[in-house]
Amino acid sequence: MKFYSFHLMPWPYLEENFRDNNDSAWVTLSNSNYDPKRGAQLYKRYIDELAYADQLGFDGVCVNEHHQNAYGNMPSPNIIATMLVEKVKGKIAVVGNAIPLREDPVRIAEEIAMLDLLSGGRIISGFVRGLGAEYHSFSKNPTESRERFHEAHKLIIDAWTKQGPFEHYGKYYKFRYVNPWPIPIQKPHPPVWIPSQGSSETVAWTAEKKYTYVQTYSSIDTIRRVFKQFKEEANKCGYEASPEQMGWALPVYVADTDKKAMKEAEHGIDYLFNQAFKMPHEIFFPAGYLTLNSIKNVLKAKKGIGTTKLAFEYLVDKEYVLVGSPETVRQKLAKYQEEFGFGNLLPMMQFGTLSHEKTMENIKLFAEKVIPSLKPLGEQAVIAN
Amino acid sequence: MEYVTEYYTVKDTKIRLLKGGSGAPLLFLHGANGAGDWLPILKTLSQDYTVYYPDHPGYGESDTHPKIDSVQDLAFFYLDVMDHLDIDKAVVMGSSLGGWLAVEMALIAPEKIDKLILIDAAGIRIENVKIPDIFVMSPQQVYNILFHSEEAKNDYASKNINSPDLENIVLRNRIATSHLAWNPYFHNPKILDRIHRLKMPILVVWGAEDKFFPVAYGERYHELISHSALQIIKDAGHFPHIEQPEQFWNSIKYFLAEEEAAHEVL
Repeated sequence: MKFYSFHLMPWPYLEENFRDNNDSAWVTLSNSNYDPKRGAQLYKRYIDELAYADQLGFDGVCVNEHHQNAYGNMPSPNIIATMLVEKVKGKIAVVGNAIPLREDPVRIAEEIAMLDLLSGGRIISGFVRGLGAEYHSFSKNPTESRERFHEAHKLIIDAWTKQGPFEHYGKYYKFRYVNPWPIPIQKPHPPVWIPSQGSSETVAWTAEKKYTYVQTYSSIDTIRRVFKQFKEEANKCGYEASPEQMGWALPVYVADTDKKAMKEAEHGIDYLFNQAFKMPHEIFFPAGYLTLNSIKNVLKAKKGIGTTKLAFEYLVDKEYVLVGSPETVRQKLAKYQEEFGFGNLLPMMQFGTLSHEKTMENIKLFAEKVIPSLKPLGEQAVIAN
Repeated sequence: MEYVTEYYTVKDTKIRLLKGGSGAPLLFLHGANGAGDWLPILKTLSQDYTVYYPDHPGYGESDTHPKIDSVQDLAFFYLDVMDHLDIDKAVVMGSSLGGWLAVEMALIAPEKIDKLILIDAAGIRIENVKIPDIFVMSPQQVYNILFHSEEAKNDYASKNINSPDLENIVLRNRIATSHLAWNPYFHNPKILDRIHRLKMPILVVWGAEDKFFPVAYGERYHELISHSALQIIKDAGHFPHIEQPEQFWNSIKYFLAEEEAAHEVL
């Protein structure tokens, strides 16, 4: 199993009762709440935390993209990835660039190619549609999101692999000369990872493309359903999904005892899910972002991230997060690895208001007491259906 | 029978159409909220006209047309619909997004438009008159913006809660509206440069209490179309033809009956 330390780089200074007094921490929460002096310190701190994880034996680190919110302050994951090139020895996973949000997807192909060369071929290139909220932030039409994603994806892969100059004439992007200098060093191109909350279409498409699917934090029932579907979709395409093709990203906190871990993690977890993730339904799911069937299912569901308050005990119980002693967390991960067959874990070692000190202790304990015994899992075996 | 429900396939797209009355053709174009049922005002209009009340593609019971990506695309589609129905020329009335649509149709094919009535029409933008972003609002919040009277707000909301078919339609309508009006928000910046070309009789009707497009938008349309008339409907929000059908009828009937264009605010 491979371990990639994931960071959202949140703004941890929302007031205690933010959720009760505000509609949203996304899109419309004024940036007058953002103090650039504190922001600069946060970037430095968070980069140090990723570097520390790499130092202690994680296989790599992750950055991702979010805009105009208190939840994650990396509007350009490629900039942070560049900062990490000299600071980490392992892989740098951008999970991912929100490719429909850029006017010219070839710029993403160029930036990732630069990162691939600057890092000596250590880049993992993730692509996402971007959360619904990003479509408000950029005034991009959510009904075009899926089509744009697919056309941008094709354009980026072509830019990396087809001899340029070539013309790309599509519904959304029309370029006479696609001819990027540089091109990536990894062949045929950097590995492509697809993080998702579990939409069936995304799971099926990722399997078809033989990319790596990364399930982001959800209830264990969703995780179970998604990995099962991924393996089935791979079979439909005539191959067996390998552990390298499956990843699980979620907040993880370890401390000496279960009780201590629960106590220390609670505030940060609550902040992540209930404060920093707060937004109205229509911001999370602008009309047209989900298919008609998907939005109906979302409306039927009693609980949802961002739009309803989720109790800490519920989040732990449903495995949205893994919190406990090293032994507890190790056993759970081993059990789930055996059941689901994933080969990549992307634990979020810092979350919400979790302090720098506690984050570093979390990383150290996880690296020393959890990673070693889990490493051999999911390495050799090919998962049967 | 007051009206019939008909289905037509135009450009491989099935559309539902309510039709009633007899006389010269009148095309009524609904707004982002969808067509709903045969409105009382349509019954009144059907005394003098054959009233056509379609669901736009993507709305209500009409299929989605994969190549309609803008209100201008929709305007071309409706000109095809008029050809399909053998409607040479029609009075066109449009509410909200339907008003914007009516303007686009009139700009493309003025010879097909006998008279135009714009009811709280979208389509233009006024620099310093802020309008609410309905795309970040819940359905109830949107009803509160669109309707003036408490009764109308609650009546409209309650109609959608109980029926899964209606819930489905409401969801589809919201998706179709995102598709057409997301950005530029509910307007076409090009209209300002083109609207001078409209020469047919035009009446602009506006709800005095419209919280979505304030009266300033009606006044701006009236200003941009120098030969137009303007009527303000009291105690009405964004849908004066729904909230105040009698007052609305009184404000449009002379315009409809006239042989020549009206020149003044009545």
